[in-house]
Amino acid sequence: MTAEAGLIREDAYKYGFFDPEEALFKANKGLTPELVSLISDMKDEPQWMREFRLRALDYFRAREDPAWGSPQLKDIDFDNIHYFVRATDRDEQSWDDVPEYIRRTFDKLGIPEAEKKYLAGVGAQYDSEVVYHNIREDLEKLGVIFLGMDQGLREHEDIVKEYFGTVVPPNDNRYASLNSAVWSGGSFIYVPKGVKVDIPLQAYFRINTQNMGQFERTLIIADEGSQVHYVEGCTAPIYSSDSLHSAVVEIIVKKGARVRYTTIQNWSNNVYNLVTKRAAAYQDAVMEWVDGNLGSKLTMKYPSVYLMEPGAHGEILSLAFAGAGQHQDAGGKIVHAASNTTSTIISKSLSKDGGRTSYRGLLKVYEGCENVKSNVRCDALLLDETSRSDTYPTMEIDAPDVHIQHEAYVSKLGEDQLFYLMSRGLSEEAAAKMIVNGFVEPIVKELPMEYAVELNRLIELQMEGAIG
Amino acid sequence: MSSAIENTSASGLLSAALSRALGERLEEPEWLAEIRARGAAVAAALPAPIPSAERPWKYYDPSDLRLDSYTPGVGATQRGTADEIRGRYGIDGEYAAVLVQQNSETVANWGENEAAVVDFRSADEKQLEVIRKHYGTVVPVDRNKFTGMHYGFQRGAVLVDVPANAEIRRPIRIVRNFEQGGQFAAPHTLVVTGENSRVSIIEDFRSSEEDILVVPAVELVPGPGSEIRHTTLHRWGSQTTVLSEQRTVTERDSAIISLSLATGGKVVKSHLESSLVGRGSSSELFGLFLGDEGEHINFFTLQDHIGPDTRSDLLFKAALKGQARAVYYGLTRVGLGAKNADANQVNRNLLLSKTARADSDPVLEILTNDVIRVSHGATAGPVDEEQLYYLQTRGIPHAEAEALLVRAFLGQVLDRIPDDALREELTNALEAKLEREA
Repeated sequence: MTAEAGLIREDAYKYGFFDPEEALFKANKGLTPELVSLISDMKDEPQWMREFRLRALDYFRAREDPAWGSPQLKDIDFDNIHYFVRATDRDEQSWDDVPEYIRRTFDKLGIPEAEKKYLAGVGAQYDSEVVYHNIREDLEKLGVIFLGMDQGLREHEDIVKEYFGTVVPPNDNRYASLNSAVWSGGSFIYVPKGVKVDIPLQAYFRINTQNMGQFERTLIIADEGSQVHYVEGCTAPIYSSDSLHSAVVEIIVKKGARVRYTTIQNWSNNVYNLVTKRAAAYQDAVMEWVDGNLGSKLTMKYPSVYLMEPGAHGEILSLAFAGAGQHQDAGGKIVHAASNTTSTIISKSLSKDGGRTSYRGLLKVYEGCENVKSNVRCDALLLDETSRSDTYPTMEIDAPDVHIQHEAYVSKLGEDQLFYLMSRGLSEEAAAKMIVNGFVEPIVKELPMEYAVELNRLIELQMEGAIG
Repeated sequence: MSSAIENTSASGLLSAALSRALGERLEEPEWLAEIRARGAAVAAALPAPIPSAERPWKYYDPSDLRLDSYTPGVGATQRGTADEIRGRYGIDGEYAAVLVQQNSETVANWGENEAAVVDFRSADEKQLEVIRKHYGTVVPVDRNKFTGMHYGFQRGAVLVDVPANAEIRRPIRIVRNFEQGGQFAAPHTLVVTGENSRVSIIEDFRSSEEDILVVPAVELVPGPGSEIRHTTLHRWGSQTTVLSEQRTVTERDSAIISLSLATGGKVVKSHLESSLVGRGSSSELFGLFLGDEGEHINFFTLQDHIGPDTRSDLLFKAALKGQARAVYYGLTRVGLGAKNADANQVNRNLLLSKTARADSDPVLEILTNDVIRVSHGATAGPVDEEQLYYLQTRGIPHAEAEALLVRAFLGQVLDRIPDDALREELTNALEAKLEREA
């Protein structure tokens, strides 16, 4: 049963191809202060960043995995990971300059076509570093910065130094410490005051090397009254041994600004995906996370919004689909640290073939915050008898003038609904797909069209063999 | 565990010798003494539960308790006739049976059906057999350090034994008052019901304003097709710390309806657990807390669906004034064998002051898809502005309108108290507490 399901998934995972490893430089396995210094040297970083990394390594070594975390975390062998793999020595601006084998990979993923069609800018990361970056000329003229994080540090050190590690401190949690020590790649985005980027900026992350750890670091600063939508996708080939992806994303949404961050995570089934994503939203700012988790072996990811000043609004839409051998431990956290703040969390999760989804959330209202409203809704759909769904919401309310609502429902694929649709002439499989589509619709409709189509297709692939 | 038993260097509440001396003074049979020794060994061997590692302790850290400052109580200091005791404790209603203890010693036992409730020390041969079969099997001795302490220093244990097909119409009331300061008390209640019987039990806990530590345990064993209504009144003094355990293991088609009402105590940490093993069995847990000043109530609940066709419902409500803090942490688990489970879990918090605090953590773990419905909800907020406004437009002053809405909020749980006289008494007490200026 499990083996069969695995086969179905592997067939279905169209990004499972891999390139022969042709890395320019591949650090030895294992994590030491020497390695951390070497990464810093190779990137020719300022001294403060090297010290930041070494400090974070100490934090990482002193920390344990969280007690509530998946028991699978114990299977990660930190000595058997390549922490740094350099595929090319430059971050190219022209597609033709990217080494041919990497270009082939991203061509297969459809990156340059998509860029031509509708993206304002695109970044592509292959193993540890960003290999290609481009942004539409008119946006560049308006002062919008969209670079790989390494290049961002080189060219805009003052901005990076001001914000780096302020939203997710290096000692925030074990995997944030790890990322802070060995980070490489990711995106650096700055949107100046009042500039509205009307079509999405996109990044694509690809792990190619076996036993590789990808630790990208993304920093987005939306200055007052600006607006930006950032979209990321992730894939990796299927190797027999596991890879680790441990990113940190920090977002600063200033007064009146609006940021939407969309992730369609489709790592192959052998990737541990342990990610810290957090945003700080200031006066009247709006931060939205749209987080779709379909791939990986184990995902632990809870995008967070800290509502720092009055009028700020946070929104989290989370979709998780766990198939055979997968555990999607996802959710979201909202911290109300100011009065007159509002938030919404909507989570939809699907489990199939023994997969496990866990919604894990936090809703916190600090003392002295008045007129706070929050609404949390979690729905889970179990597609067969062996699958599992958990809901771990946590609410800490320290103020009286609040309206907090949390609701969760767990149900199975309704026999009545199936019967009704089949009586209208649909096959059982088509009927099941239709019910699932209806279930996830509130999330899918928030995606840009291309992504909505892609997500629907991925869900359809996961659904194959769900009936009978 | 043998290494723990050899550990005799421990003193006070963790001392095996002291535990053994208590058992000898109570002249208990050898098999009870064995459980007591096991408890003392567990208490000495285990460290206090760690909040980050042990789920039921997530929101309460017991390591601050100075366990060595407490000693087992001296027993009853004030006796009297049934009428005197009835008057002293204000026991007004009509009951099937009443049992009253002071400082863990029984001082009165009367009623039309008094045989139904008995102190272990007065149990007859048949009742001793029931105790021997079930005592310590529902709330395990080695669950944690405090259950170890409970069994090691248990005193005044009571059995409620209901024969098959018996329908005890009026409630049984067990009143326990703890007065002597510095005492550690470990009251135990074991309820065993025969097939298709029904019983309603009111556990009435009180204490003085002295510094007291109480670790109660309640074991509920409903037989096939039977129903137990169990109501606990936590009316503790302001310096009493309570760490309580209650667990039910159901048989086929049995039902537990549990109601917890808390109106006082320094810390009341209550672990309520229903293991729904029997097919068609059900568990309803209700809780109500009216907190003021620095009171802290901490409920951990587990509705554990193990057998098929099991049903659970839960409603916990807290209204908080002053610096009161309420924690509701509840887990509804539906296991692989629990086909057709139906579960609902609701927590509502009413925040009446700027310094009150509510934590709500309703957890679902669903391991099968063959469920009828599993849902939960939680809310926190002040009295509804619009309702308040409406009442004021009808000429009701603000304070009164607010009190009215709070009463309505509490009413939903209060209405479930299975005893008219007691419901009235508690409603009055709650209103007095509500009206008291913070």
